[in-house]
Amino acid sequence: MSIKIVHTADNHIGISYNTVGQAKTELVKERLESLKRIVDEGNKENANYLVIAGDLFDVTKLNKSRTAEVIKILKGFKEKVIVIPGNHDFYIDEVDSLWHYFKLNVDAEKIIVLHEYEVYVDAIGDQEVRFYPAACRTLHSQDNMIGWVKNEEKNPNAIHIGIAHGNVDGLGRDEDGKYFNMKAESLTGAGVDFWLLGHIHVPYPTQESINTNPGYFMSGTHMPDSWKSTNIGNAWIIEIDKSKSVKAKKIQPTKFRFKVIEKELRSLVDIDFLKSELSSYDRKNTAVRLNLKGILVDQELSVLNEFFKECADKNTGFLHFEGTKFIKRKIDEAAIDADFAAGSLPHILLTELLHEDPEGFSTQTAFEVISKNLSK
Amino acid sequence: MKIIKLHLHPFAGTVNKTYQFESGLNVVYGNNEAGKSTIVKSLLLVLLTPTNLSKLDFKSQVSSFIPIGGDTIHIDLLFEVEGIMYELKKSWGVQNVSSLNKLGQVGINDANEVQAALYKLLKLNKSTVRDVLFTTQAKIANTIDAIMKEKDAEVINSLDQILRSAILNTGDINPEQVKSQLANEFERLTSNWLLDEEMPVISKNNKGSFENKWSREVGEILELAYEIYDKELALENRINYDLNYTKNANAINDLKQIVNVDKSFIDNNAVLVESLTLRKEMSLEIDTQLTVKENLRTVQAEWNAINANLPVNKNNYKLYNDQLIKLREEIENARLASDAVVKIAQFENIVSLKNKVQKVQDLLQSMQAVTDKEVAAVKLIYDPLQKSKAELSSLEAAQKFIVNIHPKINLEVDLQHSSNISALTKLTTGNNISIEVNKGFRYNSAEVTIEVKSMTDQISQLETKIEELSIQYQSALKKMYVNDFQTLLDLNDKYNNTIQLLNSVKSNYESAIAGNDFDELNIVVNKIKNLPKTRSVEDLDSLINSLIESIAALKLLIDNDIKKLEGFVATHGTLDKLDELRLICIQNEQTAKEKLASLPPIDASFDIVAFRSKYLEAKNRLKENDAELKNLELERAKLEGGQPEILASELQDQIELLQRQKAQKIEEAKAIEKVLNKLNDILARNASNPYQSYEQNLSKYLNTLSGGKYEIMASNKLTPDLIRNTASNFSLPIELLSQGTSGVLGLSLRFAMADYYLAGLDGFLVFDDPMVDFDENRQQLAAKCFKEYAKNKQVFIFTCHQSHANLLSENLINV
Repeated sequence: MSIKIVHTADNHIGISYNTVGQAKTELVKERLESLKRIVDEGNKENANYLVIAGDLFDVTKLNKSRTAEVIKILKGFKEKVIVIPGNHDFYIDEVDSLWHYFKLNVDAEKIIVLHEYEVYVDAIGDQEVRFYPAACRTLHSQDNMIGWVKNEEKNPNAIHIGIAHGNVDGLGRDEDGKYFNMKAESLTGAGVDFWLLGHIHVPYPTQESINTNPGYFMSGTHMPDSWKSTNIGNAWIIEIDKSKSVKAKKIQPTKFRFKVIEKELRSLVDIDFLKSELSSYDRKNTAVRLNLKGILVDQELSVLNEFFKECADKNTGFLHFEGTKFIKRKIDEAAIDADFAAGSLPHILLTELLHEDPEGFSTQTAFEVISKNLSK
Repeated sequence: MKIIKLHLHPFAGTVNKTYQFESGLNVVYGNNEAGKSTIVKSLLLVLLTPTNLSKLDFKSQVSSFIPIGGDTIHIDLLFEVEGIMYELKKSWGVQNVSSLNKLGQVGINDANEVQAALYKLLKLNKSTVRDVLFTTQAKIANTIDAIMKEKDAEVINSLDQILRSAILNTGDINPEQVKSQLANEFERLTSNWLLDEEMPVISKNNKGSFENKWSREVGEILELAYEIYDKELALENRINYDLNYTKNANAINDLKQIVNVDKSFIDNNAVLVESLTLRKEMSLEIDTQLTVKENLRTVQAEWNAINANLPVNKNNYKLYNDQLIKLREEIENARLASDAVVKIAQFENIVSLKNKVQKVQDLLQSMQAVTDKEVAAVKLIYDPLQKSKAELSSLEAAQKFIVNIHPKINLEVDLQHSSNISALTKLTTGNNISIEVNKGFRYNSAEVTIEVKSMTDQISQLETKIEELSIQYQSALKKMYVNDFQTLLDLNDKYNNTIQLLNSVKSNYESAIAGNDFDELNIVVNKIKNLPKTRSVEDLDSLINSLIESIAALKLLIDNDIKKLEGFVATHGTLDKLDELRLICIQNEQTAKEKLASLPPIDASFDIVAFRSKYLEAKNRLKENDAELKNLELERAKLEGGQPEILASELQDQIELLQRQKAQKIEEAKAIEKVLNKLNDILARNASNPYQSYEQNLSKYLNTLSGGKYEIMASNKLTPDLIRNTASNFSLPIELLSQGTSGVLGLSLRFAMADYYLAGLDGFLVFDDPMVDFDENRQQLAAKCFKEYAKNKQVFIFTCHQSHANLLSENLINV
């Protein structure tokens, strides 16, 4: 008989998506709904455990209604839910704290918060399953919490699963090593079958599915959470049998994406590339930030503006569309010849600027101001 | 443009009138109020004012021209441009109509289009038409002021452009205007921002820095930089908050772990601690009872001893005191006995002296008391009596002869004294001598007087006296029981001697008895004579001293015992009570022992001391940590109170956007800077003076109009700073010119400017009484100039002066 685990982490319920304008309400809602999709997928897969490897919540501060919503979703999982506090929702041993409220409102047999550093022993049929939690008690720490696991005696017949929250050397980009850094060899040397990890918001391994035991899994966040997270949301469904052979596959709980695009536009071709890139995204599920620079002729500019209008349209455009646009009208020698007599001051000025500063905006600036004067 | 015909129907005071104009000079003459100004105003209005005015503009620009009783004004203008005749009709009021057409053709009616077409035909902008082509009398004098003060920037710029175009093909742009627009744009972006240093302009007092911002004149880049700075501060603040919050949370969690360990240690050992505490209490109780019991036993023993000893001691005390009294008596006697012999001898001496006194007193008693006083009283009689007797005797002798010798010269006297001694006396003159002569004398010289005296009377007197005294004397003696004075003197001697003796004896006695009472002394001496036998004073002294010491010791003992006894009674009541108390002690001890036995047993190996110290340590630590925890939680509450609203990631996002915008603005500014530099560069390359021909032209007009008196000094600008007197070669600042010369300069400027504005055009110039300020000579010069100018351009001169009209005297139009 094999054991099936849904592995998620870094759900950060409570983040407010303040940088996406009016779309924030929808994204906050989607974040909860995509968590529910993980639960549903787990049920569909008949998973034995839903393991949340830290940062289920964004902060340690208790928000009762939000916590209640999460509890309601987790209660939808048919089997046991195992949660460890992460560095964002680290365990505070106090009345009225987040985890106290959480524990008070769940069935302790079904939704288990593992905040102590001790083995949680369970069984599925005659298969013993042991969980080794390494919860966070702080936001930052130079030391990881997994040291104790190695010293625990391991029954070879049981399945041993470590759960931890923190960075793994070489995986995330941990500044100053202050996020419970773990070395890959410490993880694989702890004597468990594999680790279920959270923290870096990016899934590991990178493959969509695997049939070997990588030693540790990172679930990644289940839904992109900021302009910086350009990856897609993820969760693992991991299966391990008595012989300890492991296979796993990724699921995508949400279609929502953040897209930050930086482009320099100099021709219609560039615009077409941009258009085709943007058209590959699911508009209703994508927040787009466009940072554009460039020099275009009037016609190209109007094509671009038209496209912008379309992207920003409330009904047919992107979920959220923003950005900066620094586009100048394209001036070339032909344009100068067409508008100004050779030898005249504007002609000399524009031509010399074009030659001296072909990539810059000075020609355009000069052209604009001269045109303004002519029209007067 | 050449004005051909003007039809006003009506306009202001003119009901319906048509004016025909010639190509050259048109002089419109009439008295004041005759309608000259009406013509000027109607020309300005029809050329420059559209008919689709707002109500406000209508009121300010047109309504004053509506005739009284009327509601509309109509102006029709026929003019010619490049050989083509145009018909312009404008009406304001109830009907607002514009129409412009080439003569005989269909034209345009839209007010805006008509106006735009007019400017095109004029080839000049509104201000040039208004301010250069039309010159009122006042405007001529003000020409320099208006231009100098750049009130009419548009005119200057356009003229500047014209002048520059003459030397550089500006391609229909005004370089100055472009430059100023670029500079404005650059300023808008970079005001108070140093583009190269990438920092704000910071003044001495730190104003303009990120910490001390300007509230004004902040360019867009600086504004963004300020905003970025603020956001970065907020970000730093947020990061600090996150760090502090984490630090606090870490500390709380660490402390809580310790607290929990201690708490569970304390909780787990609660029963053990209770039993250990009871055990300790019971052991203490047993020890206490033992001590009490022991104390009671001691008290009882002491109490009994005191009860036994106190009466004996008291008795001894009494005995010792009695002994002391006896010893003291004995030592008294011993002391008395020690000088008995002396005292007895002394006393006997006293007795003997006493007897002597008695004897002398007895003797005195037996004697006739003849005192010195009594003797003196008798002597008072006795002595004169004796004296008188002696006197009598001598008188009787003397009565024999008394010679008184008085020598007259020096001589010797041989005397025979009664004493039978013959004396030869040498007498000197004047030296008297009286000699008792009982035997006789002899003298040698007659020079001596001798006197002899008789004493019979005296003797008789004396004899009487002696008789009286003798009677008294005998009576006195009788009184004293004696017969003569000598006996009395003897008795007196005897009496005095006895008294003297008594006194001496008494004095001896008194010194011997030394103030003591004789009878007392007698008793004492008798006593001494009968003293019992005693021990020596030294022995007795020592005995007494040792006895006193014993008594004192005994007294102390007794006092202590009494005090103790009182204490015992106060504490315990009676001696019997002690037994009861001891019984209670035994019971208490028993109870404690039973309790101790009932407590759970403790393993022999269990180290109670070590456990207790560990337990207390945990308890103290818990107390301290609980307090510290409260502090940390308070700190956390404070931190949470000041939690920044925006997350670090959001702030970073905002900063990124602002930086992007700032970079864009900087790029724009740099582009503008480049354009400006390039433009200046190009203009500098064409460095020949654009004002040269203009200034020469202006100088020509001034020279002509001033009759050769003045010329312009070049200053490379539209308005000269100085003009030069050609005769004296003196330069004059134009502010100092007379009204007349200012007018001449103004007129010159207008001609010079018009030369440029109207170059190549069918233009016209309008002057309203231009020669008012000129003297006759200048009027002639100006007239000449007007006539000359009218050869090429249409010129209108309006005047109310007949002489001016006469001077000009061409195409005179009377109004």
